[in-house]
Amino acid sequence: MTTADTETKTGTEATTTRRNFLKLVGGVSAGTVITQYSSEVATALEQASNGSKEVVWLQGQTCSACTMSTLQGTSPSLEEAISQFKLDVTFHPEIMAETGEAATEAMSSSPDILMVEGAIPTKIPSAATFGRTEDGHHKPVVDWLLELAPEAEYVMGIGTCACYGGWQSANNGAPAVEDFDEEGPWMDANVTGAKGLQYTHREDDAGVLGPDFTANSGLPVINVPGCMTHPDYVLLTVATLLNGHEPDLDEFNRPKAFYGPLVHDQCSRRGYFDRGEFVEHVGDGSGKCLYNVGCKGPYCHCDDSVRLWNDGTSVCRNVGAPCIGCMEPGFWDRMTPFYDPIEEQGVALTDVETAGKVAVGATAAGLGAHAARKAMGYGDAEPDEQDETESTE
Amino acid sequence: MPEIEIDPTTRIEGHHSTTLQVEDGHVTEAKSHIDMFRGMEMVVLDRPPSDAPVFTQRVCGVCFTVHRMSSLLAIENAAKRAGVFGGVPETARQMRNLLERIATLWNHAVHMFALVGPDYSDAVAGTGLDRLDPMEGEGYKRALEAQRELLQGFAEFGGKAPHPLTYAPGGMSATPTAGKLQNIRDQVEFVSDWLGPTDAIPEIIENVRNGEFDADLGEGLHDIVSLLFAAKEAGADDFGVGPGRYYCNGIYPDGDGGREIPAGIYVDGELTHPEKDDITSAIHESTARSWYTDDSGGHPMEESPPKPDPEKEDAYSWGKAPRYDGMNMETGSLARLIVTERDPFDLRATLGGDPTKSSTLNRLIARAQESVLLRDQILDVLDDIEPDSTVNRGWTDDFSGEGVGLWEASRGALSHWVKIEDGTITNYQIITPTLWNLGPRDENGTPSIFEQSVEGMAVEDYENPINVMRTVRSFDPCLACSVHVESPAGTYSEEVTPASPAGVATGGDRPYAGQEVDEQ
Repeated sequence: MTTADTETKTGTEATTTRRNFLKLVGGVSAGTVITQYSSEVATALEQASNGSKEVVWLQGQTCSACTMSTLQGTSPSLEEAISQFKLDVTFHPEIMAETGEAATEAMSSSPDILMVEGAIPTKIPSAATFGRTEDGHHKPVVDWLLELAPEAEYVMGIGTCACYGGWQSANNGAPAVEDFDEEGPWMDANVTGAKGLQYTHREDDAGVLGPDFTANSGLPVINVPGCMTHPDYVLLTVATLLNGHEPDLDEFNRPKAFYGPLVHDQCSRRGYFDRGEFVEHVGDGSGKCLYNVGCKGPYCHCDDSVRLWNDGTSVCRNVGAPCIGCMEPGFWDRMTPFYDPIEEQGVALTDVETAGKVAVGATAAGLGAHAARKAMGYGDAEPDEQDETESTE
Repeated sequence: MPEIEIDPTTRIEGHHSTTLQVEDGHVTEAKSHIDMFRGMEMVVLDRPPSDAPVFTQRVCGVCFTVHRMSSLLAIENAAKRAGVFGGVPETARQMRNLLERIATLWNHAVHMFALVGPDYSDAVAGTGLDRLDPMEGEGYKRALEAQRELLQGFAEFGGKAPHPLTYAPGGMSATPTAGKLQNIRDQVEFVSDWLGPTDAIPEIIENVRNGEFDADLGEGLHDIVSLLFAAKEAGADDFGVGPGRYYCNGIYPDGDGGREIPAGIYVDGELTHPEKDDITSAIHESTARSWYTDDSGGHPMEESPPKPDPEKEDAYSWGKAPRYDGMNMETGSLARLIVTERDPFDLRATLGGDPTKSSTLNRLIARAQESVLLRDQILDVLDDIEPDSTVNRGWTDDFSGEGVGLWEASRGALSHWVKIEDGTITNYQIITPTLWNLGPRDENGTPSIFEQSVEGMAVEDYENPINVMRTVRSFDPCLACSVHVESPAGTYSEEVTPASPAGVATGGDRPYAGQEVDEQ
């Protein structure tokens, strides 16, 4: 299934960008800022803005997939965005021409937009460095971040690692299976102390910038998570911000336009779920519901079911792969094992808001209340604390 | 003695830096610093084997298929030996071979145009090749478009890319419908048209020599050949010279127990094709100069997970130093072509001067040659896949055993090693090609391939050691990696501004070919 319009794929003209943009904003849920202002935003793309906007893209503990994903954008593409939005990318370690000190000297010290990809190691700051400090030591990314963030107009967390800490902060299994006889960071649950910008995967631990941080615009860090993130989530959020609009954010400061929908609610296999028809195993070719092989769609929020990936080519379930919950904090621990339904329970409630929409019906083999808490909660808090979290948010 | 430090190395995947000791205008010692540690080998412990491919895929968002693939091979190998798994269905084997080829071709396109291409562009090096200018050159922009099309083809089976989901324990999750196969063909043919026909290469070479450009013969190949000639012009056939020892794990299983590209070791001009057991017993890792405890080194199946020791004296890298029978080994496209004894259009023999020479230019040529081979193979293997056939017969995590997955990333030999007890992972090790090519020294002081290949190199302009940067990128390193060029106070006080758009490649920056490593 594809929504791609080949006519719009390769254009670089402003009119083409406008058409792409309108096509794209048409896919987001109603009532969001991007929809409300779509024509205005698109118009702005056609106009010369007042000078260029300086961008700094930092990489912490990263795999670079979010950069590679951003390169896959088509509505607009990255190169269209750079020219149309008049972005001056003063630093991006992977695509910039400069290297070494010339690279760090090119970096804006007060960027309009600071984008951060990757987690930030805090217990072992030297676990992600670039450039040198004045006394010649490797300069930790956490220091760069603490310098730049207060000077930035907007700060964005790109991908799950920058938003919540990512897999680097997932539970270290070594103490459970190894016979370590000496103390060291290898005994810690989070070996390098990896964190997101404002959040971690634990309720009782904030991100590097702290819960009260706001950039000069007055907005908190705007998170566009995902492992990897979607190019539209990055580039359209940038478009929204540069046009002076405040995106409507959810409890993890994600734009609701993209992260409002529940994957389960927009699933093309939902009919099988409602009838209780599930696959036999991964790759059985039946096209039935993947819940029993670990699909986390009932717990994961994003609109990729309709937006799709790689210019409207496909999405996880379209290739028979269960959702891994990659838009959610701590999914590496809360949504695993990946190929098992959470705690092997039947259909569970999703959260307070969406519980009523979930068709439990005949397929409910049992109401996995504890499982639901594990999946929906914030961090690995005990059930009681979890209830409190849900009620206060 | 002046010290040059280049930090960060940009246009590579990851954090890396390099420190060079320079005496009389020549590098006497190079240190390659891998500047990132994340701890994957600890995070996957105490989890079921089927989780490992999903986790370890996230080691790299550029090599996003190969870690998932190597991890699958490791756990499938362990399950086979435990007697609970009979192998992946034929169609799954074919789909994996197809997707791995597409991923490598994609990687090469991104590498040649976005990462290494700017080193030979007009904007960065004053070469006159403005088609290669970052973000603005026509060739660069066309390549960006082509790589998107290629990943769209990949996503037909992958679901999304990077980080596709379709590789699953036991085979694949995607059904190869006729429609998806056709869509992949369409996308690959778009990319193929961009590259141009293979048999036009001699004519393209002539065009490039004469400064002519015929878009009908293929823009992609024209730009790639132009890049190779610019590298030759810069003297890249004689700098970045490594020891000429190559290692390849082999890739693309043929269905009869062999691999279409076999495993190979090339040492002292001799090519051998070792068995898997020979390879796995020959590999050891040293942490002598790494920020890990000493017991984090050893044989991959026996060593401790990497225990960070950030204050360790004399350490300078978050990478370990893997060795093959004690030797440093180069790995990558060049190694693959040498172990298969291929030199399409004799480009390495003619332009490179010697098909087996380990040089910055030969690494670039090999990547270009492999891209053409891959494009031709992809169109062939697409025909072999039977629509709607079986791709997976199921999987169980409930077993104990050991397994090794030997594979080839686009940038070289990759291995995953796993121990499983009662359905739980109890040990896990990953050895990446970038550790082979750009790791630190080992306990004997033997440098890595990159460190060795720049020692002896001439550095005329301390502020712009562009040929060192060209060499580090010729390995297509993947690690968020940086190269430090620094100068201790009192000896040399200039700050370094390498490879900036304003910089110009220094014409007098001639290499110092074949000079012995000088550790004094």
